[in-house]
Amino acid sequence: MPTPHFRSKAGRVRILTSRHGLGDCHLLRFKKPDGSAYHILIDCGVVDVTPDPKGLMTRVAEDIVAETGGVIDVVVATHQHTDHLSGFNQASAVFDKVTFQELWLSWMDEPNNKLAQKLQKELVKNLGAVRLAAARMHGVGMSAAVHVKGILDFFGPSVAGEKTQDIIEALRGRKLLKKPPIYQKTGNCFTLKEVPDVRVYVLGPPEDPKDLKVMNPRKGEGYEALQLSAHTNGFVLAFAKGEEGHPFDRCHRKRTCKFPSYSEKDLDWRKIDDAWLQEAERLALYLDDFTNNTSLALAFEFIDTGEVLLFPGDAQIGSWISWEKLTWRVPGADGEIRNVRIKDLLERTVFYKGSHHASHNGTPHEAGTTQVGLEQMTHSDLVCVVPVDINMSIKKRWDRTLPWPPLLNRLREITRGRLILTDVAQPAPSPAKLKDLTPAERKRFKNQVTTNKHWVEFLL
Amino acid sequence: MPAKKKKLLALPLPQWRRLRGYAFDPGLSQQFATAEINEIVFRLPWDPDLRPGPVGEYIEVIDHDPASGCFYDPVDLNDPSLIASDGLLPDEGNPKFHQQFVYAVAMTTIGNFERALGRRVIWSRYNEKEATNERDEFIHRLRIYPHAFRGANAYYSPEKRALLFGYFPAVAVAKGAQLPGGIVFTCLSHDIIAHETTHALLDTILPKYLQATNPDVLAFHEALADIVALFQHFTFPAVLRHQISKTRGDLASQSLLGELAQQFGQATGLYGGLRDAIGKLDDATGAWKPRVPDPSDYESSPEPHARGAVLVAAVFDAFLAIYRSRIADLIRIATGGSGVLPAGALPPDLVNRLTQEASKTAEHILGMCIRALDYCPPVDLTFGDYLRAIITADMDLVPEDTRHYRVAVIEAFRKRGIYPRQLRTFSENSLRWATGSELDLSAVEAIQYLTEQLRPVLKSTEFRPTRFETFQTWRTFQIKVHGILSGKIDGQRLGNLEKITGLALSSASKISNLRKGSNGRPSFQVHAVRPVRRRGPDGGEVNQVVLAITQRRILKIGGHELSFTGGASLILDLDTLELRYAIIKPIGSAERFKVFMDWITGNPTVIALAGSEEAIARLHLHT
Repeated sequence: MPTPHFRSKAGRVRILTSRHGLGDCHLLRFKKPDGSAYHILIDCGVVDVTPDPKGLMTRVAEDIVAETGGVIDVVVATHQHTDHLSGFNQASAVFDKVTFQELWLSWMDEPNNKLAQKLQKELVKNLGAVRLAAARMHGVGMSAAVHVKGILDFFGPSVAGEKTQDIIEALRGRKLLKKPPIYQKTGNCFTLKEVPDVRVYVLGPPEDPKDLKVMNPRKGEGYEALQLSAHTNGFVLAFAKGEEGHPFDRCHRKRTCKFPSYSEKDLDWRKIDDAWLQEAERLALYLDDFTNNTSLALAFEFIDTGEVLLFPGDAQIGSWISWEKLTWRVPGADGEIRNVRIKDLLERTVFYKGSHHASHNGTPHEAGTTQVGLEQMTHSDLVCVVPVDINMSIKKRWDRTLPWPPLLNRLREITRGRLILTDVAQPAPSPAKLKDLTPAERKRFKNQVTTNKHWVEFLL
Repeated sequence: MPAKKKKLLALPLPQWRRLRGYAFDPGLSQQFATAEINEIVFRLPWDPDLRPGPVGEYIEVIDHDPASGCFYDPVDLNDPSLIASDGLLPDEGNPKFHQQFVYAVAMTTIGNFERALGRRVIWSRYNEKEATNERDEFIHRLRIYPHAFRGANAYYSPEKRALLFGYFPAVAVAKGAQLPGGIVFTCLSHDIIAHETTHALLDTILPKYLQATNPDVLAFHEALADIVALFQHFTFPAVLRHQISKTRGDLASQSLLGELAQQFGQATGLYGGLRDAIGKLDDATGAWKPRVPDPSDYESSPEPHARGAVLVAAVFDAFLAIYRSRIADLIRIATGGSGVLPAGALPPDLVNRLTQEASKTAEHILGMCIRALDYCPPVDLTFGDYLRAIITADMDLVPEDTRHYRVAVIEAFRKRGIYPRQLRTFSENSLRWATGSELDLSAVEAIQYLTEQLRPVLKSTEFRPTRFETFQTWRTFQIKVHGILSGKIDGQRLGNLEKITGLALSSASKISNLRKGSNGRPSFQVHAVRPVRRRGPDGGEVNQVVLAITQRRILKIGGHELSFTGGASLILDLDTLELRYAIIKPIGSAERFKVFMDWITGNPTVIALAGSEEAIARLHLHT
């Protein structure tokens, strides 16, 4: 019996979240009116530096096949980071035999979208410069090289292997994809044809590129859309030959140094020959945040009860604040047409997939910084599942902010203990110990969540 | 010009070198309304040994642009045609002008510090540890690299003892005068140069303030740098006159004087100045509105830049209050007692007098802010401590505060929620640092002995020795003080000095994880012996020496090694041989330890900065 099978009695939805390491893989099973299963797979990946990623992801894929019988109704690829996509490549031997009925992507992956093309081109150019800079930093022994390399790991291997762009291409071009890819339009909402009691809201990625570039909120000062791509252009051009990027006319540029103290003996430590490479760190952080903000962020709503399952991908602040701009006009359970705003969806959220591995800017959580965020998730049944791998974070030196301890604390408070980390070294909370829950809630949680070493199961 | 041999009828050296530059940055020269006031002439003390670079007594400009793979030749300010024409004309396209300009602004900033401190600036040694190595030496000149990298940033590098300035293309959407896609040079902004130079100056006086031991320390670095840049605007008479005329004397309204780094702000897409001390443009309406003081300002701004802005705003409020009171009589005279100015432009005489008052007030405030640095604890400063330092420094120098400067400062700070949390009242006297009156007899004797030994330090300020000689004098005394304190411990003649200073000196200390020396006793560093010799406006004289002593506890948190630092600034009165003030951060304080742990484990910026290289560059990374 493959690992995922926990219980035969299914709820209205069952969510399986894989515990394979630092990466996302979620399998949702809804119930069709005839009682049969409708499967949605959201992401399947692990960070590049995991030991034996191929074996690991193959095992995950085999579990998925066992669970779905080799047919997945919808596959969602949220954004182009390896920790969300690598499995489709690493476990291709297994996935190649699986039928995908539909493939959902964001507008950022749409081939004919001019803006998406422009942003992608910019990203590729910038990434190229960062990779070159990182190699040089490594060569001269700068300690920041480790950090830059750590960020680049999310974009896939630099030397060999598939890049995330290629994985998306492969998904689009696969034989067992029954329909052309669907590029979900941000701000859209629709009911699942085969599961008519479930409505899907497309929250992100933001359509305004300015929002994609918002990284750090600052209280009381509004949001700073740092147009870094423009600022870093000069840095990127330093890796290309030619006149562009030079600050002064050719006549001023000299090969020889007429500052005698610069080459003074024993004063090498005051030189700046390599200091300029440090900019790569800022650029790398920016590219990482930017790509996270391109996540296809989805909310699934049960039309009758209003309960919401929130899957934001790795959306960061820029995406969250753009959700405020959206309004949907939809009929409620009583058939009456109402305006639905993000605030309503957050209030009704009963399952939250923690965004961006609970990093400090993955979920707005400080009161006053945004109108949307953790503080608006007020439902008394809220359960949160976060994909994290703490040892990996320590190894890669992300541990200082990913996961971000104050956010985990707040998540624990808001869910009154019903926070589950996918890290196998972090056992799920035992219902009996959740003192803030009423006895009825404890019982409900006990029936809702089960874990084994490979999967977290959530039932509704 | 090495004309060292003095001939009988030789002309005296010039007193000043005059150099052209911007009052703000090139952005304002491209706007009709401000072009006329933006180009000014800086007046710097004549440096007889100035070499091409410029390389002077305090700084050396080195124009290496590694990202472009080239050097730009140095400007020779002693070229007769440049001496005769106040240096090069402002020109963004000529790197030599950039070199001239960074030199002019950095030297102006250094001059302001020297005037306020009453002593010469000596850059601190690279290595503050006791161990000697090749870097543990006199740093003659701060280096300035005007085109160090490509990026929208500029920073002070303590590791290199250098200022690094970046340049970058402006964003495509221009809201101000900035040419879209044109290159913005951070080394052409008066405010950015003054800001970064202040980081370097503060680091020489209080080297431990680069360690983010609480939310205020890094914020203080930013705030002081902004305060200096801001008040330096007021030392340019033409600009001040123009803005006073334009605002009809009301400096609280929107003016160029209160905004920092205009071009940088516009070029990065941040509307208005980057950091706006006194008000800002409303995001929604685009109208300018002043920052209204709120007692929750301090508590509700934990992020370093935002918290720093609270301090800048408080100091600016104090400035405005004093300025208003100083001009009240002028306005009454000018309006026949009504105090209501008639419509239309102010008469030029009145503008001139208001300008004088504004300039004087700014000079006083800036002086108070800088002098206070000698009265700050060596580590772990809070804004409340800084308020106490300002008040204490000023009370020592100006015992009778007839113009109520101190009240104005206290009130402005309190309105923004800045006050020492441990005090119950906020009078001048309760804010003044505690004196050494609680020492027991042995401790008094120990202090007397120490102080007597230190009397010759003041000699280093009497004549005008070279900066290297001054450095050596201070260094000698650092070693001497360390020796005396260690020696006294042997003899057990400290009395209750450990309790009063909060230092752990004897081997009996029970504090955990203390860093210890080979002799088994807690180790400590004397990282500064600074003379404080000043004369106040009413003839009062201050003859003091500041000893800055620190020590560390080593902690292991989640695999990372962190230091918890404690220490004391001891201010010794050389006239009376007494301990005048002990400004302490006890190494054994459980309360301090808790605050430190809460802070260090709860802040993304701090955690990202902990133990990293180029902390300031990274702080700016989060700008």
